[in-house]
Amino acid sequence: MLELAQVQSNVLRGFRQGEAPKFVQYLFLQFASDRACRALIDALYPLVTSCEAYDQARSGAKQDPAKVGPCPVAVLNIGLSYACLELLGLGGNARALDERDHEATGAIEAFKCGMLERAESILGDRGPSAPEHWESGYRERLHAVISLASGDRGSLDTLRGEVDQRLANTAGVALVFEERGQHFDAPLEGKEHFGYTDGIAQPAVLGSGLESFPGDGTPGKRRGWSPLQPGEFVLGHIDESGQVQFGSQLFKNGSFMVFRKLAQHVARFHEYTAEVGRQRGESAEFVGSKMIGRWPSGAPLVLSPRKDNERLAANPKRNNDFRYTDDKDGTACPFGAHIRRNNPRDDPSGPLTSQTKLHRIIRRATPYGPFLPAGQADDGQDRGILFVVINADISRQFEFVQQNWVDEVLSSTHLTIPEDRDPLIATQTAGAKFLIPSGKRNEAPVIAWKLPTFVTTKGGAYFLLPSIDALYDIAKSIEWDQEGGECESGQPDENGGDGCEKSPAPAPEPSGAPG
Amino acid sequence: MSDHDELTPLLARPELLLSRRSAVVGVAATTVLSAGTMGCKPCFSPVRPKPPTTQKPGPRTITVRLTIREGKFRELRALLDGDLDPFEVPAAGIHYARLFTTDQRSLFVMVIYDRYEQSIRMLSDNAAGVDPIFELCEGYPPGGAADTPALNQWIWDNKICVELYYRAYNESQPVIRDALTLRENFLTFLQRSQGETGAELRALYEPFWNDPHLVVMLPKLALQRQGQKAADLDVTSKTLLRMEPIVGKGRVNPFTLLARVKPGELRKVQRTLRLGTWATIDLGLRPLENLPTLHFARVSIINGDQMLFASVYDGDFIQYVEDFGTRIAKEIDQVFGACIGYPLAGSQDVAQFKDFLRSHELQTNAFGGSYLNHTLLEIQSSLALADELECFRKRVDPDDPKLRKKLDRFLYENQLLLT
Ligand code: HEM
Repeated sequence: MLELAQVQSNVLRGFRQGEAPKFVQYLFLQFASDRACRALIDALYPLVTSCEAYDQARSGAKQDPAKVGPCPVAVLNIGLSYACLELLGLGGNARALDERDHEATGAIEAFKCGMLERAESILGDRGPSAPEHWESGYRERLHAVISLASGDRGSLDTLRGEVDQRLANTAGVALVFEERGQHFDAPLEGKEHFGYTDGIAQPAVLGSGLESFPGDGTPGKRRGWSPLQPGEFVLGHIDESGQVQFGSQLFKNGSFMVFRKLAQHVARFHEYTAEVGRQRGESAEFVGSKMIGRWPSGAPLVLSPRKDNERLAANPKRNNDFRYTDDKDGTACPFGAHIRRNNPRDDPSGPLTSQTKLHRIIRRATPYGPFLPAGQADDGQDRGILFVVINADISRQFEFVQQNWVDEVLSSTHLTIPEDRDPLIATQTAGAKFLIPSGKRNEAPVIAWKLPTFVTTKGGAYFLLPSIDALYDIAKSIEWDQEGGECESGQPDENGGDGCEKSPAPAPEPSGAPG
Repeated sequence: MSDHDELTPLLARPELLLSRRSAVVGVAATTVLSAGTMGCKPCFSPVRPKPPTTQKPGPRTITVRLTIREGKFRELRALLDGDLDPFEVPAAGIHYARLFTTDQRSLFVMVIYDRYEQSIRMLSDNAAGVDPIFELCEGYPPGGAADTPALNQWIWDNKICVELYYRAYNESQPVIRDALTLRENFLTFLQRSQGETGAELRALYEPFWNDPHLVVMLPKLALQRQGQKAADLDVTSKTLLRMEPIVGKGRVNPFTLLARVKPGELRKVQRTLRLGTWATIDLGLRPLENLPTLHFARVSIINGDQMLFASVYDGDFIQYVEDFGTRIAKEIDQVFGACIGYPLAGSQDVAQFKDFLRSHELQTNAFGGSYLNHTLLEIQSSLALADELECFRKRVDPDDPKLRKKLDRFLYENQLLLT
């Protein structure tokens, strides 16, 4: 079991289907000095929610924390950018980022550079998504994000009141801007703007204390699924390649959070899918579902190839329990469909499962802006999702998915998708298309030509979600010693011994290359 | 070929070839390898002229090691890092080419070509680009690259043995280029003929049927596919080989690695490479085929105990590394495992394996290719589609009354090649 009292709640809680908090707020901050930063963390520290606190709140509300259920309280989490770590003197060659944590693995690189710098080169944010068009706040040097989330507006407002007060009382802290998101009311609950149910498939995490559903983990040899190693989402724990990275105090039990504001062009999506459908006597819904890989209800195409199936969608034990070996030629779920690209599972024409399991992400998506029903003209309003990814290695997980599976050809596949990008969320170029393989003998596949771009990036940033102890130490200016552990003599080392004993740095290999 | 006939007599003198080879190897590794005992048996570089019937068609490779003149290294690097485009003039029959240095005295040139003469021709046609670079190397003919026979001799004299050569396709560069154009044209035809039947369909099919390689079908659309710049499209511009400095990630990338082999392991590795259990173009066992992003790979041994690995792959480096570690872990461990610094757990330890590759990687100073925007899968599916289309064109002419039906059926049967 993970040390749940140490891990912030937005790392491992409230992300499974049906659990997403209805209301979220993200407050983006800048600090005038490290003192301001420490003072604010000190002020907010009592409000920060851990996974354990989250579970206690659920038990208090007579819910079984392991089972799926909404959160009865408002939660607060803090994320710090690399710029903030620098401000605190923890960046660069500072002690806390010891060699084991970055130079050796490169995992810290993405976090260090920040999203802005990697948007064009790695994330495929071109054209209207290019950083020069981002909302101005995201082009600032942001230091921190405070995430607030709750199932009801009242408790969120109360919490926000508390936060505002502490912000006002702390000198040198600027609230640069904020984002607010809100899930739709019934009957649209759980849906995103295009009208499809989101937040169904999520990774199962070993030691998270949560019940997982078939389909959430890595497909095993038989029909089973095995959960992912905790180190894929919580720093300082064993990961899927058997490594423990980020063992130092600053990182251990933390995680990395990716924030993206993604605008959705809803009218364009409905018009285009209807147009493509019309040409072949199919509905807009058919075309849209093929692009996503699930029907509006959330029923996966692999299990229900012909039509939507609400009962299947409503059953969490079944709605994610599918494999692509059951759809080898993509006639149910096209190879290029959003969910097939973003988690190819056991797709025989995709990467191997041993590769795919290195690129899983926990997603939290909350809509912002008003819902626009199908058939209505564009009203010019901004709408989309506030997209959050939790992962332990931004470059290996989020960036890899975005770069290789969304924005590029799926180069690890055999004879599929030589040139098309993710039909739903990639920035398309002229000539982009999407192919829906035909399942009917001798009937031509549907090719959706001139595929437009349906999603535009408005901004984003990378943050570290430090552990509860790390936040405390930062607030109180407690210094960690060189070895990456806070080791007062006589104090037992709770962390399994890797805090104090510095494993000797691997000797540099004699390189064959001179110079 | 006709204008390079003067090269043929030279190529037909194997004794010249052999003596140079032993000399080159001799300098580097007298103790380990003598041309007499192990020789260069499965040496894939360059093609020994054989009677046309036995010579396997398809891309070949040459690796040339040039000695940089004393004190000229910095000048050379400045040239390579500068604006000079050594291969500006288009070249036929060249798949990929690269330049890199391993140390202050060694400049390497690697070319993948269809016919050896074409690589010499590429260099001599680009005399203006390559002369300033090659002049900094020892023994460069005074007449420069324009003096083709002398250039040929010089290149020939400096080529080194390739222990292993892998290629993912056997087609020549024009065949690949045509297949890529054909696919492009066919997609354009499909888009325009969507939903059409009868006379309209016939009218659209006819020009395609007459000349499927016709680039003028819809040049504008073809140009804009994937948002490529005009110059990127080998089919429309005449740039067959485009050299460019390595900035950022392209679709197709070079990887070059130099690592020292552990003492005593050299012979074993060489045996593995040469026996063909690993990968040769002549035997059926080709684990490298399991890498869907690998176009070409070569291994040479230089300086007696250093392994020089060079490959051409698609997309993201991390994905490439993972493919190694997950798809052919055992085989890759057999070969790279002989190198100092190789992770104990082998390539399956992706993080360590990546570190090994990164820390032994050489900077490729110039890299060019005929299809830098096309992945291996794209090339393979285009080739397959071209074959199928050829049959279809033979079977179905524009006047066929069942044109629509037959076309739909063709699309159904080949839908995976169109995605
Ligand atoms: C506006 C943007 C987006 C929309 C509307 C959207 C919508 C959806 C929907 C409807 C699903 C199916 C429900 C589910 O399986 O949970 C889904 C799944 C998924 N999406 Fe997205 N998505 C968006 C952006 C992204 C981005 C940027 C990424 C990654 C970089 C991503 C990665 C995934 C993954 C990994 C899954 C689950 C696949 C599986 O495990 O089967 N999505 N998305």
